Amino acid sequence: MLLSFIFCLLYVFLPFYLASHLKLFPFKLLFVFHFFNFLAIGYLFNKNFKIAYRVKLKIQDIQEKINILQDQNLQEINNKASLEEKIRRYASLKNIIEKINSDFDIDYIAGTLTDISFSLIGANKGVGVLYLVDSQSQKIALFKTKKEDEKLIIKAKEGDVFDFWVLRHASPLLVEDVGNDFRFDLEKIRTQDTRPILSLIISPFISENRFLGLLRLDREISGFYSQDDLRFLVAISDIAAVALENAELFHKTQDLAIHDSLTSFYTKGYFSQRLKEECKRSKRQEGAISLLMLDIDYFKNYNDKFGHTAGDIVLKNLSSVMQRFFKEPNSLISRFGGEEFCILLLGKDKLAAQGIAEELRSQIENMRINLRRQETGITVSIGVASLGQNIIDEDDLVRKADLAMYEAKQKGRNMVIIA
Amino acid sequence: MTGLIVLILLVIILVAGLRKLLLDNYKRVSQKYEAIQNKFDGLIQENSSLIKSNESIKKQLEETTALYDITKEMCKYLDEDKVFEIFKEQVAKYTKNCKCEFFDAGVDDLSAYNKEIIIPLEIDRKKVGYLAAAGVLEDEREKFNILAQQFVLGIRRAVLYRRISELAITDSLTGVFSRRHWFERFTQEVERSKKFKHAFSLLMIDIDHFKMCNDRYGHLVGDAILKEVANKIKENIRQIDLVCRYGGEEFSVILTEIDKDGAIFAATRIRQAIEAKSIKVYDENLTVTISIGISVFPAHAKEGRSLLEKADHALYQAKQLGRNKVCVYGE
Repeated sequence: MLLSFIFCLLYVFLPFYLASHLKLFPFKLLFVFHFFNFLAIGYLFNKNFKIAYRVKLKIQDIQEKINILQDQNLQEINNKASLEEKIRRYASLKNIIEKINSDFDIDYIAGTLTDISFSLIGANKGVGVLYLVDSQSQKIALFKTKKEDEKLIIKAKEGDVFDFWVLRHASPLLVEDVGNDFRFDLEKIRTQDTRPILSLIISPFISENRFLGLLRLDREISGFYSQDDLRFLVAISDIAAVALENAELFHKTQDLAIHDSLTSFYTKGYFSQRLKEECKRSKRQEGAISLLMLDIDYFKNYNDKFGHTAGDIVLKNLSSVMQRFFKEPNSLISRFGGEEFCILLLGKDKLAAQGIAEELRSQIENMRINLRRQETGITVSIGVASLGQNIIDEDDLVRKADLAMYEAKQKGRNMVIIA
Repeated sequence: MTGLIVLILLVIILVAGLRKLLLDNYKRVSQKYEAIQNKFDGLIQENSSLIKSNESIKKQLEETTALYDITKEMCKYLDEDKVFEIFKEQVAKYTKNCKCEFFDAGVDDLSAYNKEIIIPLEIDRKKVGYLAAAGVLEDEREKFNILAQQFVLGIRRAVLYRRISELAITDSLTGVFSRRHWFERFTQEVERSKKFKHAFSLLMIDIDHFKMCNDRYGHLVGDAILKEVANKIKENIRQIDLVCRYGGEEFSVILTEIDKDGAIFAATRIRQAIEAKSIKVYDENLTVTISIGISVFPAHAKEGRSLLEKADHALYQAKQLGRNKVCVYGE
């Protein structure tokens, strides 16, 4: 207020006063003076406005850039979070391997895999399914499931269109929206399952060139799984394939260590172990135990006469006769050596064992084997020993039965001798 | 005159005053501008550091992912030495100067590696070997551990496979004899035929375009084909003839006491039986053909090895002639 008052005083009244009262200059000059004033004010304001306008533009410009940057930063922060999430996933993969590598139980491995992928990738939503290939039918069969909705029933026990796609292409599959995926026939999908599925990821278990099964996650909403999810599932599956194969192989080695592959009778190693246990038990419970040592007569002749496959055929024939003969559970049969068999009879004393051995010998004698369109047969020599006064332990039992068997051989074969 | 000076003075004062006023105003605006500029610079810096850190995390992630992609490669081979070789290759790629060795379970003296990493390899609580490493830096430890885990998977597979091949006499997929068992019998057959002056024939059978079938229809279909072919071979030979799975899609058959003419007859019968068979897998109906190479003992060779080579050669000829053919060596 004061400033404008002084301003008025200075620039309106003072010059006017000077001109009219003091007559220092003519009135005309007053116009010139005001004109200059006007010019000066105009010029300065104009300049200032221009500058201010430029700065304002700049500020606007920068503000825009700032907004963009802030958006970008937000995005990067999100990015970072998702990257860190992925790193965490991969870090947990190490524990997963540790877990599935610590056990050879297929059930445990498959269960762990399904649970882990369902929670890590599927965020505990939708369905996780694990299929394993059945080695007999070469088809996939439902093995483990993990579901958000416990009551949901999965009808595709042998896989559906998507699983078949994976089987055929032997490659992982990501479907973001079933309705928009040209690879699959919508009509076919509608008719195959009542469970609504819109997005899914599947990864196969392939070890070298063997197909072991597949792991699948699906949801009733579209676009739930990403390429990264699939990649992680593939990483899990690659490891799972080997772990599952190892488990399978391990069980096979165990089985092979117990069963002779040709006759499927027990191996010598496993039989000896069982024999020891049974002898101990029979001593404790005072039960009878007898052992038959059986050897095929002139076995080498078959190999020479008919070729080495013939020996295998004879052994297989003999083993099927023996399997039928000893169908009761209280006997253990083992292939003791090449053509030597050892049979443990539980609860049978010497007399009973002798009868059994004699019956077996005559059955084998009557068995007919077709080799090269010739009908042939075999005979066996059997030694029998029973746990008793002069035979005290399993080693003794085997030795005495073996000696009796040799005696049978020497006395002309095709007979039973009691130790 | 004085009046004029006063007027000029007034104009000057006005100009000076206004300038000062406007300059102050300008200063305020530019201060605001600077503040925003600073904020902008700060954001740019933040942004670039975020991008940088994201890039490094991404790189780390890529590396970790890549580490897991090796599983397949590492578990590809059934030879323990080969598995270890691949492991060493990968370790050399991801660490600076790590030296590792693989010991059998029998080795007790691991003192040279006392202060470094020793990973025992167990199968069913029984030690089957040790992986020992030295020179792994602290920040390489993680990578090494991941690789070691995969190595354990791969080596276990190799060990178990070896055990099975030592124990099993039949191929689990096709049910025919394993190569090892067959080879034993083959050697015996050569000896027996020498002794009794018999002839016998060897067939090498290969499924035509099997790899293509496998790639096109998948492994399961491939496996079903193998099974069916093995069945057809068994159906068309005698009980005493011996068939084995010689390799991936290769079978070999010993025809005991059979000369060239008999072998051609049997081989042709097998070839025709397979050609005529329609194999149904899932919703596919497939037919496959096979090529067969024949060599005869003792006409073509008197030793097992060279008899095998000759049969292989005949098989190659059959393939050259357009597949689905039976070829005798040298004809």
